[in-house]
Amino acid sequence: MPQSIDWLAVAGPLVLALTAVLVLLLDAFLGSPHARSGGHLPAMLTVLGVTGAAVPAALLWGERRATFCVGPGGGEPCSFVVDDFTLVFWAVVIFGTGVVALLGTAAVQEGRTPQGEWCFLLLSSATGAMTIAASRDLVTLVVALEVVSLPAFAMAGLRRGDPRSAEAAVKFFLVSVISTAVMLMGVSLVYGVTGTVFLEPMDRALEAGAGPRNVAVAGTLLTIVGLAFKVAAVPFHMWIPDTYVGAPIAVAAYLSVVSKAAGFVGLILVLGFGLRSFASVWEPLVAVLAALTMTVGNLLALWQQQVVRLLAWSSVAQAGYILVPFAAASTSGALAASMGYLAIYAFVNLGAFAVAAVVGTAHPGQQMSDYRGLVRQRPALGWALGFALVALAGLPPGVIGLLAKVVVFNAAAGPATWLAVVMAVNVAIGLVYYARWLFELFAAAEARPAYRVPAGAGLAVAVTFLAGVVFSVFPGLLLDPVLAALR
Amino acid sequence: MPLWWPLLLASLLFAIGVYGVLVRRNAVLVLMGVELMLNAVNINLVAFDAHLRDVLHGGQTFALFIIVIAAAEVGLALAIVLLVFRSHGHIDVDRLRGLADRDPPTEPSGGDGVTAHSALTGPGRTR
Amino acid sequence: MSVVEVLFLLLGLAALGSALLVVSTKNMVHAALWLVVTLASIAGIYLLLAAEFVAWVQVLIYVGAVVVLLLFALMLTRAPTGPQPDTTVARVLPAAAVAVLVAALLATTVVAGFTGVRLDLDGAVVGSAATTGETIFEKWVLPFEVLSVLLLAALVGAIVLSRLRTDDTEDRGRPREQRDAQEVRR
Repeated sequence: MPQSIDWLAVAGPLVLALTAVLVLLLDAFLGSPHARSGGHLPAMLTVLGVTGAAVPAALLWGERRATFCVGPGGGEPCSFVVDDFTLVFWAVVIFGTGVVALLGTAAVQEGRTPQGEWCFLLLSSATGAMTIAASRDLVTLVVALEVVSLPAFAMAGLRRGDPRSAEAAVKFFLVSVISTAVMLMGVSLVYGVTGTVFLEPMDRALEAGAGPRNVAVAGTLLTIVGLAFKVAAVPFHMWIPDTYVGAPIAVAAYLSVVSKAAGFVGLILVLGFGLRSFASVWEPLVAVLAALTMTVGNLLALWQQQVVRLLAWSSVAQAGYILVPFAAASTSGALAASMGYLAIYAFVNLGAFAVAAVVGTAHPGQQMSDYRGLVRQRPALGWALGFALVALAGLPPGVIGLLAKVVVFNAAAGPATWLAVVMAVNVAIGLVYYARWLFELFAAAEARPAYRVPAGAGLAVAVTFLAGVVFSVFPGLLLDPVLAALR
Repeated sequence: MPLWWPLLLASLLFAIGVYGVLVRRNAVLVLMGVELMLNAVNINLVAFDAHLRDVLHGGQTFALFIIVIAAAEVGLALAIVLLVFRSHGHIDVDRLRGLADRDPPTEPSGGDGVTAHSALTGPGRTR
Repeated sequence: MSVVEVLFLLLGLAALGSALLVVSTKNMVHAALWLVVTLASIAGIYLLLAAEFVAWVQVLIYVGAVVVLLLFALMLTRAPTGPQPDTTVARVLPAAAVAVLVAALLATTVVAGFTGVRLDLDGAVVGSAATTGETIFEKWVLPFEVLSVLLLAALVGAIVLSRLRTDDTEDRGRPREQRDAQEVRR
């Protein structure tokens, strides 16, 4: 008997996948005349497709829909579940993909990135990212995680005539492939012990004490190591700065937001859903990872003069903050704090990358001194970047960034107070380099470079800035549903 | 046969794969190490599937899908490796240091690679 | 000791031995050829472990396609086919130490965890093409479909990356068709 399919539940990823194919075919048949005359048909279609995927997602809010079930009579366990947790993450993917598609127009205008293929790869990767949030079995989860990564390797290398882009692609590829293999080893051991690949039955089996405990522990550890590579937790972070600097900046934005978020969702699903009863095993380990990630990321960001590399290290540090609530995962709602931070980080970080992409059209070197006096030369760009940095640092008026840090801090304080203290120290260190950049922005400058602000990238800056401001004024709009989603 | 036979084989094969990944410098040979690791995973999955009498055949299906994933990865790897070879003239992972994160903080240009990059991407080349 | 057990031991030893050669031989093409031996022995092991379809897929895709792609990669990058001086003691020792540690930890864990558990193959359902087809299309449709996205993305990604040429700048002025025709001729 074939499985019954709830088409509305799978509509989100399905729309993205179909748009991807449509973009590819249109680009192949209509081809480059559009690209050369400055038309942005693929980018527009991508944004349209992403918006289209948002419609079924909005319709599903507040419901729990399960489909692709394998239980007797089409009941639980199911491979694909859309609930509020899934939808929050879908919102991040939809917003992130839309903004990155807009940013991509800057790279396309430069004429060194093939537009149709770039949009196709972006949409395929986003399809995987949406699927992973809904997957409730390890087979689908692993396959979806690969769908996120594989197009990303190609995107990292998508830049004609730039040897650094190729180098970024090969480093990213090798690290990611190795981490997948390690993670799969862990998954195979957990499967052997529990006898199932579905997350909830797996948790029940472990709780009931199935199989040899040591093998399950080894499987858990290997799985965490593999996923830690994906989210670039220290000491598995070495590929991040190289890849971010070498890849086109829109790809760096994608990697730091959507792809990283996919890694975190994988982590939340595997640890929070599948291995929940093993929390006593993995909590201390993830706590150490979180502390290391924050500290190393922040300390190395201090020295950076190159802006993309600074954003790379700062995104490592931010990943550390997201990991903090995992250390207190046994208390209810802790993982919701991770989710909340992730959502806020996605909005704010994309804002910083969007401005960097625009500035990059005039200053491809992306030195910090290139930003001197941006607020006076280009008030719109300057204030947008200033706001994003303030929010990343967690200072008012970037209230949303501050709230994100408070939420995470609250989750850790109590169950893992030492980690909360480490986090507080790190937030203080973070202030230093964000402030350094802010000073450059507001400094007086003589020259007035010519920025060619592509329409798409300008729109991306505006959208991220507006989202940041709105959420800072009404933080409940974002935080209430997110924090309620994982109760 | 005892269940630990295939599991031991998988563990050893996995360790050999790890050794290959760490010791090799040619990107393609690193990839061969990864293939050994993935095969170790598949042996585990197939052995557990047979042992558990999994009615869903989760293990075997997973192994099949991993084989497909590996094939897709290798296909893309070929393209990436050729891209690197065309731009660098070699595929030695250790010698790919154009991006290495070791810029001295005092250097005004921000370090290696950046200057060359600006020359490549500057407005003069984009038209 | 039954026939299956003897066969398993032989195939396992062949797989391990050739895997060691894959990671240690100084000749790169030999490494790829030893990989064929490893993968083929593992296919035999799948057959013993009642995973018939997986075994044939292993032969078709791994031995048939993956190794050929790897050989292509080695040949097209003009890898020296002679001996390679790439394994120095300073590299081998730490790598070997890590590998031995991994092997020791994993092996002791699984052996200690599953001592005395028998893998009874007599009653196991053989994963024939029919059984596998039924399970995949009745129970695992979703990951199967997601895999199709993966394969398409990998295909397009590989094509796009291969079309990016470092000398691409000068022929951008020409019409696309002309460039495509040139592409085909290469």
